[in-house]
Amino acid sequence: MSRTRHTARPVLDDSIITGLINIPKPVSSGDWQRLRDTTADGFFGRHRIGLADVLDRHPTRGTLTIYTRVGHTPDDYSTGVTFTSLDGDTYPLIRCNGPSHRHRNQIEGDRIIRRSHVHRLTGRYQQSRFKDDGYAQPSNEFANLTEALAHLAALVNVTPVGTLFL
Amino acid sequence: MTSGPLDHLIEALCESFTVDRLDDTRWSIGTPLLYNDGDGLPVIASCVDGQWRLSDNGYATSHLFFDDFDHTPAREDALRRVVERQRMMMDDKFVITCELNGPPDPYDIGDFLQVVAQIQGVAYASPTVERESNYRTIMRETVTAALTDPDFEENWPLPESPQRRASYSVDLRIGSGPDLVPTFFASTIAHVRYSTLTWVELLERGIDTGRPVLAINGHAKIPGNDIMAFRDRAGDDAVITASAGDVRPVLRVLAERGVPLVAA
Repeated sequence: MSRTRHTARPVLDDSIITGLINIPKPVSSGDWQRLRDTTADGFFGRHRIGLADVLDRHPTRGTLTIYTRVGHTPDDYSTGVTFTSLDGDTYPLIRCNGPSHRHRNQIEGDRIIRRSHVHRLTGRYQQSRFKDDGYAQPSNEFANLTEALAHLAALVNVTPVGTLFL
Repeated sequence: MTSGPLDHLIEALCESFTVDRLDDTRWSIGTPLLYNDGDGLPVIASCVDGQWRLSDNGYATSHLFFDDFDHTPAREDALRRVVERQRMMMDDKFVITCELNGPPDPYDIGDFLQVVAQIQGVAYASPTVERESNYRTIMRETVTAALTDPDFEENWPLPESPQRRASYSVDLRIGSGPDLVPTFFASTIAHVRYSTLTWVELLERGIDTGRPVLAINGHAKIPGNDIMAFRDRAGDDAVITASAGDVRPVLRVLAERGVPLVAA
């Protein structure tokens, strides 16, 4: 079976994705606390911080955003990083998800049954009819949002500005 | 009699539907219906004090926020319309519930899944009553109609720079040289960020007049961080809020910057 996707949106290849994930992302202690404090305000406890300057001298221009989101049950949370290109296209680079739901990798066919997992943007999924970050791997590294955020920080090279916050 | 492949399909279909016990009163129903990121559509059956219900635990709306979803009153109306059209309920925490007269049958679950699936379509609905794509057009047309000097250009592309691969443009260039007023109109987060990047590019290329204007659609929900990023670089008075039906705040700021305008 071969299914193709028709889209004008450019595909970010895996080397660009890796570059965007690995580039150091300075975050202040205040911003980090705000990401953790998801009950304070916002619909579905969502917070985000823009990292407008990080890509100023990077070959791939645009902006990066770190976000957190919590739902109404303790296992429904996520935190991730998105990239918005100069054309306004937003790509979900990586997302750490709580175990509130099942997940199936649509291309590979394997399932994750109510376990914490990490979604990743891949070139392969971008060229499929499935969602760009439809690929996920199970993770034992986090069991709540705070731990997920710490794990994300390690995965995407967050570097603290000022005092250590992790 | 069925053929081999058909037997396999029937077996696979049966296996794809599962019921997992969560606790004494709740069961998670698994189906092959998935979001396009591979996450399963949520169906939780429960029976409390003899009342059977199907619920999504708020996950359908929550799943919208995995992406850059702007929650606006217009979209909330759309969410509620989807649910209420199927005579189900959505509470103030956006939990969808369907009350049943007895244990759910497969068709109850089918009806519920349809509603849950349709919630995702709201991501493609306009976040404002004024269509997003129209905001810039309406604002530009109204502002340019008020300009008395013909020295302006819509979608002004920044001069090519061999060091940069990306292309930038200003929604409306008013004047030029020392009188340049780069004007941006944004009703999405992405365009606010794009406007910031474009202004930074202008600064880096030395086209810094210190007089840009960013008008933001008053009906859009733009995070303070994104607005601050522009304000930090362009000045506190550079960002104003204006709905598409009322450009007076924009004209007032342009007048303060010395832009010649027709008399009100």
